[in-house]
Amino acid sequence: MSRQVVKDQAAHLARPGATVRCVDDGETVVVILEKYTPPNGEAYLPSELDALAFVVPAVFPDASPDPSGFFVSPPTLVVATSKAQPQSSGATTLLGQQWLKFSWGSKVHSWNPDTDTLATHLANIEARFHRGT
Amino acid sequence: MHSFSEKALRRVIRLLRSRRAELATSDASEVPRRRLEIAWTAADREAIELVALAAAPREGAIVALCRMSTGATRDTYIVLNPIAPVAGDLSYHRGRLVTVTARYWNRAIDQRADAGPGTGLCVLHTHPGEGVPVWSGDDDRADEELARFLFGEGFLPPDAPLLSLVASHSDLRGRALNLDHATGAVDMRPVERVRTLGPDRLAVASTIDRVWPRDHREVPIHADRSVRVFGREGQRLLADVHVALVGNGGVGSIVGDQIARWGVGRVSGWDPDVVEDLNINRSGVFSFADAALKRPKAQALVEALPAFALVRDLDTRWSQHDVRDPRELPALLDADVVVMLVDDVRPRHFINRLAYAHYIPALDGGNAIRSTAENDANAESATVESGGVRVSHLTPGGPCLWCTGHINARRLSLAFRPADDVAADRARGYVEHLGPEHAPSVMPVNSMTAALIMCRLQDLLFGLSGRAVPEVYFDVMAGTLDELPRARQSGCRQCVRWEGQADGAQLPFAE
Repeated sequence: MSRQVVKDQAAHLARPGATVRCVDDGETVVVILEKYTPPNGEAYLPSELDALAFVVPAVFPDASPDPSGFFVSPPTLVVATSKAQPQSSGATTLLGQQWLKFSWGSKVHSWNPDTDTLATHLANIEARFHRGT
Repeated sequence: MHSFSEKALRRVIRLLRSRRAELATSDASEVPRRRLEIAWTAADREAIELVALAAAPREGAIVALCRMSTGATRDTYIVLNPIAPVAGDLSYHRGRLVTVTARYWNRAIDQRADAGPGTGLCVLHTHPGEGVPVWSGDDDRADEELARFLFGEGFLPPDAPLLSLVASHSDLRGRALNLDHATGAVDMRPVERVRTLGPDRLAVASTIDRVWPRDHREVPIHADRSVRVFGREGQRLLADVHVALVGNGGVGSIVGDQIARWGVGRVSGWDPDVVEDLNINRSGVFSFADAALKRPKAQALVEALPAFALVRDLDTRWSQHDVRDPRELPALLDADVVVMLVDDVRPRHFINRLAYAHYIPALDGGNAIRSTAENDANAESATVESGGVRVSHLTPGGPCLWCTGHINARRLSLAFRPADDVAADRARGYVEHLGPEHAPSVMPVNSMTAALIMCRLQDLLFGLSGRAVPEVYFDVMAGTLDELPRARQSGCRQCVRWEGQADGAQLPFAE
């Protein structure tokens, strides 16, 4: 039931040229946005991502999407100006694939299962890209 | 005591006559016997009995909703949402004998339909006076008519619970009513036990119809000192209680040891882990031999209990499965109280919802110690910075672990993180949201946690304090014990939303 809620909400995250895929992984669903262009993408190399992913527990929305961070591919992503790996990021494995994980969660937003959705979660993720670091 | 339209009544009587032969030959022994209990909150019970008994010296009656909670060996009918009668809902014949009018039934049927699938009806009528109420011939006929009418006319789905209670000023009896649509026979199963859940107490009482043998246990012969505390009746009560122990590690193993010595008669244990050498210095019961054999903690604990249990024929069950495994639910729903001593937020979220949905109160305990050495198992010296022990009481009407902030959406989500990702975070030093990999733990604090659990359990079963104590907190550094003011959050999507939903509740099972 809750997995279906995740998949239904994830379907609304699709954008022109990008697709959304949901992969069941144990007690979680990994939501993957393929061919994702982040806001302020020019601050990063490459400016367009192969994929953006985040983990959502199957007991969503009682449990929020993983607040410890999100994943991007390619894992070689760097900041355009410094050519350095983005702050608070590191290589990790998800679904048997290498990703770059941004260890980042909103300090001001606490999840409200009655009002928050995957769209508000994605908006929080996009706030991280606006930093350009 | 019940009343229908004349037309419906005639139909019921015709059915009754045509099926009398089948009724006489029905063989209940073919069906595996299950115990039947009812559970209700103290507030609902008071509302129901007060309203109905207010009609004394005439009979009174009241209708309520009920739902089924299906355990492995017992069915619990949860009685809730009393529908108070208004003027004209009850009528009397021969001056004293109450009948529930068709108008009242129609109102109850409508409310039942609005309450969702799995909801049934409960009717209580009174026999004013003291003593055990006796079902009269009129009661028997009325209950049969009621079952034929509600089930036969489709006002109740075949699997919906239908319960008839009769109360005097001092006692209560009950029976579940079912209609066999194939034969037209009405089956009446007696209620054997009543659990009343208050904010301050779990009152468990057998009815005169109790046949389950545990009720006839002798008081254990070695109970001398504890009989001097609660009497022989108190010792029998303990022997009749079933404690589900979720988490059989450091604190859980100490609690298991103590409840067996105390005289609890049924203990079920759940823990997915095995005993390791590193567990021994802060646990009860476990030995290095258990660790060498890598015995499951639940097995090592539960199988040790009969050697020192006060109840010599202690009923035990253990499981290494995750308590959230759907296969474990029926065994959990046989318990009278859950004692939960786990670090993992996922089973705590599961039991939290179960406690409210199925009217099985839970005590949730835990402790935490902060030390300068919490991330270093080889530290030469360390300073304890803080420490605390908490025990929360989860019961219908009271605050749940979400209301009090012990579980929130963020903490729950973090518990579901993939292991690879958690390991990568630790390797990179991002541990703020993780806490120490192996939390500091020491025997005196675990013993204190177990002691608080035991004292809260004692208060719950014997009503010593006589007041609601949703949470207690022991400050390890200050050596102080406090009751914390805790209140239910209105509209809580955990306790309020699922309270009393019983088998209709969506539980957060492991997938």
